[in-house]
Amino acid sequence: MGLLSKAHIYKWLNKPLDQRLVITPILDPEEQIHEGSVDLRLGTTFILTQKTEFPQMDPARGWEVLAKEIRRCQFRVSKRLHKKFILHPQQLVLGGTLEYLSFPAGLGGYVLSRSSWGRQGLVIATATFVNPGFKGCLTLELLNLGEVPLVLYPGYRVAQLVLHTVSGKPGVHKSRYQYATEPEFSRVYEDPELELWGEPVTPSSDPRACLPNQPSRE
Amino acid sequence: MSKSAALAGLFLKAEEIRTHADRLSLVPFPSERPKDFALFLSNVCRKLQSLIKQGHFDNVDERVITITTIFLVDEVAPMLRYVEGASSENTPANLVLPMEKIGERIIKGATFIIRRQWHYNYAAVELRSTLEPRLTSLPAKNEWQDVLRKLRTQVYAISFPYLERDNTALHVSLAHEIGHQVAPSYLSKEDETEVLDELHGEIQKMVTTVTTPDRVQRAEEIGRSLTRAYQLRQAALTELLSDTISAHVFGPSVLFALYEIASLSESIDKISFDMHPPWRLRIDHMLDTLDDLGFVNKQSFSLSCWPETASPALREVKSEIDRWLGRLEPIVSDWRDRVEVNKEPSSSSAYISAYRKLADLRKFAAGYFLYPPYSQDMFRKEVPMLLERLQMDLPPNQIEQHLTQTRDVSLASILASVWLYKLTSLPSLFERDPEGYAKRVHTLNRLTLKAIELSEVKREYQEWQRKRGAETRGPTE
Repeated sequence: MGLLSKAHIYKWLNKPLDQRLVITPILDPEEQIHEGSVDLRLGTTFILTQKTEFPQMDPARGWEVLAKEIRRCQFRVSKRLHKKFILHPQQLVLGGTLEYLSFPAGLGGYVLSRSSWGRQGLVIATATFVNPGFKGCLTLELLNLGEVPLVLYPGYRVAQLVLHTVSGKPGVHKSRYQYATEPEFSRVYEDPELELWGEPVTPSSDPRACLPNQPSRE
Repeated sequence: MSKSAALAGLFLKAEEIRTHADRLSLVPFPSERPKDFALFLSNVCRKLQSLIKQGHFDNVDERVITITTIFLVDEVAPMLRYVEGASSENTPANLVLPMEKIGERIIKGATFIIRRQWHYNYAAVELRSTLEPRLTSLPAKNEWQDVLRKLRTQVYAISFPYLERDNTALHVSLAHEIGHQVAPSYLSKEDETEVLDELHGEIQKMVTTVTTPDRVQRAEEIGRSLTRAYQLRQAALTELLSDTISAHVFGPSVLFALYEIASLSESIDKISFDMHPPWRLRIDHMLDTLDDLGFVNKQSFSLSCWPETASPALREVKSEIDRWLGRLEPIVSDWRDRVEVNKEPSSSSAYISAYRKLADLRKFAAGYFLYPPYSQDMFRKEVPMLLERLQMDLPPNQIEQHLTQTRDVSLASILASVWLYKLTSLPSLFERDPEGYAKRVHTLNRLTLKAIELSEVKREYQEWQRKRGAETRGPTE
């Protein structure tokens, strides 16, 4: 298991389609592929949180409740090319990569911020690992840790993908975010054991009790 | 109501519409067109308020004020629904810009707004022709002409059924609606007297002294039939020409879409027709057009643009599509619609005349395009490879032999590959696993929209690279 060099990245990108590492499109291979990483661009869709509708994030309340709350409190915004997206200090939004990726079984990867953007306070990924067999656009957790608003445009190269081979007999991981073409809402509620570790819910402890239009818990 | 109260009412209605139009202009749209139109409507209201304040309406008849108010509430305000339905959220956003470009290439100088509607059909309406005569009849005509100068010569609102928002491949039918706007340039070239004489002759053959012995009754029936026959003929030719134009833009996909809509909106077996030609006739005409263009062989009901050297899996896809086309044979060879059409002198004469024009119609469509339309050669070179990408859960955005050896593909090929996937891979999946089928359809729609987006982004990037290269190199010797 080792980090892929530029030559090896090219090799994986040029394999027959059924074994290939697909990153599509790579608009400018010379600019985007480096010694040990591939730059990824910011996509056109973002997921924002509407805080006034958000009581609390408690995955243990059960998947139906949480799924509905996430849908009620988060919303998508599409930005066309050449339209700005302003990320304010301490604001977290979900973005996606413009590129669609397909990992063969023998490769895994890590998504990292590009240092040029990191120096301006932009963190683009906190959940960075990409499993072998993943197909789709990666969701980027965009966070502005700086002190001034950052203006972002779809197409900017904000992230970098570091690749490595997988040792042993590679299996294919089935991600719950498979085939995403834009950022995906969290599906943490699909973890079956959240219910085990969470505090049992009683009507009086339910913070949604004060909210109008409560989603049904049936 | 006093004149002053009527004027106050008009002022307030303009204020309301302006507020809504300004608010709507801030919504995210996939293109600038809906926003521009919202701002235009806002400007209309602003101008009206300004003219009221300047006293231009002080000396007009009270009825003019009432009629203008009715015009605002009944015609201008409802136009905001075209803007509202065109937002990014309400449309298959990535498809909108390329579709607008297609429309603007076919109808020079026109603007297209693509929007949802809850009615299950595709439709088109031109907006400027509604606004212009009303606005220029208001006081201060010259100022209204200045306002109208901001609007293109034609503004078409093209609607798609909202239930099918994500069914991107079905939206090749938008090209049919764009084709509708070409029909007047065909029909206006016809000699109206000749057309009426032809229809009259055909009607006379059916309304005879035997069928209607009374002379006066006969003359009346011929007159009635002639009016309806003319309307039916023009409507039939408009529909069939629109189908032909759409076949030039999207190739076989329009046949697949036509069949899907025919199956969903009205049973193909229903023997009826109105101002639309019977489905069977449209499918038959579409097959003839696609045969002319080299996409299908109508004699054998088979795809005629598939690579000879295709892999066994792709050969199987062709066989599956041929089987699908084969299912059209009993549909188009069923003449019950035509028998129905022939029962009435008006419809019979209209369709006899329209049938005579079909070859001419296809010739006109072929000569209409100022740029090369979609060809069977592009289909053959692009679609099979894009289909392979879809089969591997990749967006069909480009052909990649090698990282530095990629081939851009047309929107028509992207959508054709999606149709082939839909027709060959999905039906058996539904039989095995209905939920898996629904998920797969969802994934397919997402991959389609992504492919369209990536293909557009790449085109733009390459254009920028070319310009940048030219600037860096400087002028050549």
